[in-house]
Amino acid sequence: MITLISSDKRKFHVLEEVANQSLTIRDVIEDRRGRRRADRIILVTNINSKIPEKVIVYWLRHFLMPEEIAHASMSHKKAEKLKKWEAKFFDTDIDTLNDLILAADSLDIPSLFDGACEKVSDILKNRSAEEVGEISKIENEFTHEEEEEEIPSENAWVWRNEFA
Amino acid sequence: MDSMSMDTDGTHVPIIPGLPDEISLLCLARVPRCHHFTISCVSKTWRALLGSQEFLQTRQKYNWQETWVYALCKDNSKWNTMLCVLEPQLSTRSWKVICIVPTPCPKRDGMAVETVGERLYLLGGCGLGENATDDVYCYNTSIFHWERVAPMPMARCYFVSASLDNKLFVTSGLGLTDLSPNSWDVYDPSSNTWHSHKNPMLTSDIVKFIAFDGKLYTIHKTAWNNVRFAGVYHPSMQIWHGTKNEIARQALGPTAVVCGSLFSLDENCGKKFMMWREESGSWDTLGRLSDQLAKPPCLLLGMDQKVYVVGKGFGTIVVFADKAVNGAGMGVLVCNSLCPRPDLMDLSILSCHSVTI
Repeated sequence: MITLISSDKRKFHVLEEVANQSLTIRDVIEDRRGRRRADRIILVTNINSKIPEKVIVYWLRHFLMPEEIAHASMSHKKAEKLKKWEAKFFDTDIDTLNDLILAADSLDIPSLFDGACEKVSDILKNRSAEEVGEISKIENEFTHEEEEEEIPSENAWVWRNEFA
Repeated sequence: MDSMSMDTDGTHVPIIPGLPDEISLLCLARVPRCHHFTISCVSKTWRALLGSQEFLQTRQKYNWQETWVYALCKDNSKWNTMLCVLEPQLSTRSWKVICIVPTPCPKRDGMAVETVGERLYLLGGCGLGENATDDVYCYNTSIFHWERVAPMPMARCYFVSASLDNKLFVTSGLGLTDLSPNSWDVYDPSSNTWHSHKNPMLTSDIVKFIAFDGKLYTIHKTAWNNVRFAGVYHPSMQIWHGTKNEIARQALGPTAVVCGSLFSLDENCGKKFMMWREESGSWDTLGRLSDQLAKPPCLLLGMDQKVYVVGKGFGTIVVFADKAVNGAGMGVLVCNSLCPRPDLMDLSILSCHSVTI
């Protein structure tokens, strides 16, 4: 069992095998193997407690269905189920997704990182530029004149739905 | 990336607030290309990102690239040229029309179209009853933006052009003044400059350029007796010399270079699909293609190790170039066909280029 401590001092106890999904944690455990018990405490300083909770939920779900097995022998039904679960897991606001991406980046959890980035890119699909700007809290910085000049008008990019 | 995401007053504008720019790049680069137009309208920073080399390199690195075909078409009923953007969908045996982009010079004929990287160039041409023009327009396909770039040193229409080593080569054509009938001009997109060269060849009867194998093959046809001959220009050494004239025999029709090989289509009598064999210095007939699927006049388009034989209404026969190079028989070469689109039958297809982003 190892202990993760978030920036707001909450402790999370996780099975080593589960936490091993983070390559950063796995390396730390490997480094400290055979040492005292206190060394099994890992500070995750840059993230608040809401995120480790989510990360651990993600770990547990994936621990039950490790990636390698998932690819080799998982039945179609189970794969569908995992997909559905992930869709629900990532169905959250952009701030949480950003935090998840940052946590996955610093803890080195490739599948979580990819999943969250994919979700961010999904959010950008099939929306108008204004909606995207609103969701991702981006100011468009275009001055009024630039907007007239630089943004290609509808004419410059004629969507022909009847052709689609 | 820093230079591009700086605001005018020098403060850093994050691509996505709350994420480091290199991670935001990973999120944006995986957005499919059909949504890039919307992305480009969100903010200046995003537009700059879409147009940046990092963005293109990231899509390449993670294999997120998509290839679209840009076809310059003329609407015969309205005498109007436009750019049709399409994507071949081999699984459903059809072309998907992504959009139709008006060109800045819709009423013009005899233009040349070339691509360098993600940029598409429309050069020269002439309007109805007008003289040839030296105008050059550049369409940046990654940010959907037309701009006028440095004009050609000389007005030309119905001329010869090629893209090689990130440079454009133009020569010959109609509309030339008698001052320098032998000129040929080279455009460097990185510096937006043209350089006029004296024609390195002794003759001015060049009818086609083929960029192939890092060299520029020049195909000639003498006006007085229609004799065809060929030459090779080495851009790095800037020298030109004659070569086996055999290559000129079939190179006047549509050609494409794929998998390091040169393919040609002879439409004089049926549809003969041929490949140039450098070692034997001859054209090898690979087979005959159906006239029904790709109605003449056809164009050749090389992409993804395949040759697309594109006919009227975008009816297309797709041939495996890699298998042809390895010497497989014609029976296994044709891998697929794409149905003509009835809605595009009225268009004359003037050129086809693929751009991968």
